[in-house]
Amino acid sequence: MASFAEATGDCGAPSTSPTVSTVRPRIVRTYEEHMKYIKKLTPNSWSILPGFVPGMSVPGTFYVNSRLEQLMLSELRQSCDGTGVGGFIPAVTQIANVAALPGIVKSSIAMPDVHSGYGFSIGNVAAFDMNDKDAIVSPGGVGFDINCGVRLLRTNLFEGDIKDVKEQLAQSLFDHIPVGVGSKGVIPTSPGDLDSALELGMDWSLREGYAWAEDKEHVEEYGRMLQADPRKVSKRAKKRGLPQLGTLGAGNHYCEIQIVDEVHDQKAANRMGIGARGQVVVMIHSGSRGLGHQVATDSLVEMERAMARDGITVNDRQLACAKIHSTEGQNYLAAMSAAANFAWVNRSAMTFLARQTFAKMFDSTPDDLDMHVVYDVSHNIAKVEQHVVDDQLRTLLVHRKGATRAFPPHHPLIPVDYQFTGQPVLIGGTMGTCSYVLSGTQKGMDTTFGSTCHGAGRAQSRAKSRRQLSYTDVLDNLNRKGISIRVASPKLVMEEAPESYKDVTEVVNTCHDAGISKKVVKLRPVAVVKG
Amino acid sequence: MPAPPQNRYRLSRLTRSRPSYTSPSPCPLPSSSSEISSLVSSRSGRGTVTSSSLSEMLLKSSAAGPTKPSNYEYLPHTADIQLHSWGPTLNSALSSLTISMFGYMTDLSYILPSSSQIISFKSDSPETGVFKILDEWLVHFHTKGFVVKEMEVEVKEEVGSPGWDVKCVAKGEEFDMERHTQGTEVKAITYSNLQIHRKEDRVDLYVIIDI
Repeated sequence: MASFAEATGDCGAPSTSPTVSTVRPRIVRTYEEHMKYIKKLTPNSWSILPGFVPGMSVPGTFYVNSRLEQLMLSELRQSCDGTGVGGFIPAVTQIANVAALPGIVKSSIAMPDVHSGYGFSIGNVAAFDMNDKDAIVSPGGVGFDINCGVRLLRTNLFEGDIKDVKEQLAQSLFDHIPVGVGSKGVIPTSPGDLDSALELGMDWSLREGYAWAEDKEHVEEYGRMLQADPRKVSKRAKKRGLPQLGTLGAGNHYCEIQIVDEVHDQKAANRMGIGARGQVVVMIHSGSRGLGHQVATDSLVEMERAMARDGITVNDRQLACAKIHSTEGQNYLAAMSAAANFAWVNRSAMTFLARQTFAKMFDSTPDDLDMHVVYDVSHNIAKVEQHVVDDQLRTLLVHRKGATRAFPPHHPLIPVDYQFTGQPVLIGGTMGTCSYVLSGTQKGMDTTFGSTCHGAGRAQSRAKSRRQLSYTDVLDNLNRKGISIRVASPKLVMEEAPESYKDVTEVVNTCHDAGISKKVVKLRPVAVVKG
Repeated sequence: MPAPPQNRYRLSRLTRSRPSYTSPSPCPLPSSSSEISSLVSSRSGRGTVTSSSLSEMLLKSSAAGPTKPSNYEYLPHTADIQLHSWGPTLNSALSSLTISMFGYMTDLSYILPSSSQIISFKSDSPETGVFKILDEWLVHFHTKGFVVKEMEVEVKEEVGSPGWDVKCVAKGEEFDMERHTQGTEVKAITYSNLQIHRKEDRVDLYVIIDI
């Protein structure tokens, strides 16, 4: 590639030079000085003006309401007060740092559930111009858990039908779905199978009989990214992935039985088959497991080298990236796509197990229980999409890290069933709170590259949760709400307690009020299965 | 056309049987912590781990270490966790660091030092060296299920270059869901704010791990 060779030639940096030389120094300012660069645009959105950090070619934007903005700004204030030892970069600065990456278009956008992450903040959306030879792809903009996402299954059962068997149902789900550290998948897979799964995504699940043909229709990209190349996935990543296919994982991943609690948009809810209050649905939140984590780790190491070679300057060493059209960039996209396929196969395997659980419990079949996939969203991924920017149709590489695609009605990439409602967006709440189904809007398409929030977002550190919350109190609370719980690790109960997170309803309302997505249905959990 | 879904109703051959949860009465409201832990440790058929031992363990395990005096702590970070370990020498700090990572994944007091594994590699900087020790053991865990309980590490620093030549010998055993407890899964090691502070009589290491 000519442009690539030129770039290598004129940067002049020998490949052995430390990457540190390509990181711009951090600006030290007081909180008040910082605030001169941050402006409230509307009751639900703020702008970070260029100049907040060096090299910003576009502004930053974040969506928060009056309650969530306090969390955001106090984080910035703390970082100004502290000495910088052992601390972390506040989300506002991270959003701005992304706005300084080469090839970024329009704005570096953050959703209301934003919090500090690795390089990019969690909740960050950033699009890079595919036709700009300097534009970059960054594994940090996708996250370690590639294609982590949420899937919703509906049933034709009602709360009354499961009331008496709720405990058994929770136990049965826990027994069927492998959860937690060190758990191994129950789907028999050989290394050859794994390669096929990485290449074919849900087509593999379909071929092997773990998915229904109609499932694919209701999954982003139809459950298969065509750019996937299993050869670009390291042996080490495959070794980590093989025993973990069909496992839920730990941390914030879960499988929940939920009840349709409130219907905000009856027409859209009916279209999704979840329009009746009291209806039982199943939500699965999981990702690409160790395979995806290793793909991300491998690429970060490779990209550090590429950055030094190509003379890419960034504000933070963690923003490892490579030009989209460089070998490293292309290798990452091929490996990331394979990991994304793995995640869909994984969620399909768990869908299969959840269907079996219900079929056994109610002595019926998944078909008769109408256990269709409502939708499956990816909230840690980078995709090539077309968007109108400044009245021009542009081809962009959109990174969504802890943000969900939310395409509007009539968009060609959403399934025919949802052409009139907009794409369903699944927002997983925290343990024991509630979850939401939203739909995409034209305003979101115009302002946030068709993206919205992904969940509650952490507000409190895990270590603090462990110290402050009592494990019995958290479980008592859940019990009082009538929620059955099965967890593999007791410590996780504190770490994942609702108190550690932002209020998901505030997050969803901010998106609704800002018009970037619309509320359709609110779901309330009755049984939780976690790592 | 894809083949018809043959496996749709044939689950029994795939599902492993786990001991099922038996509660005294349907939907009990737990009144004591041991009852609650029986809800949590619902795989109560596990070998040595009983529900009461789980809750005891929980009480003492939050900060206290496993068998040896622990030279590590877990520092707060919004989404992840920061490991901080220390020791009189670089080797001892590295050893504590590795053990602290596994301590987050499982309770190490149930792990027996019954087998050993070796890793060795060269790194081009001290940061990479620290990163790779954790990354290598994490991969060992995810591929072979090997949990490190004790570790001896030898770091040879090359003269005139920042590089390390590392050799680690670890004792531990394969993770077994029946005998061991599940903690939190570690997704990846990060370079984020990775710090190595070396003084004459004390070495401090800070690493953020993604969980």
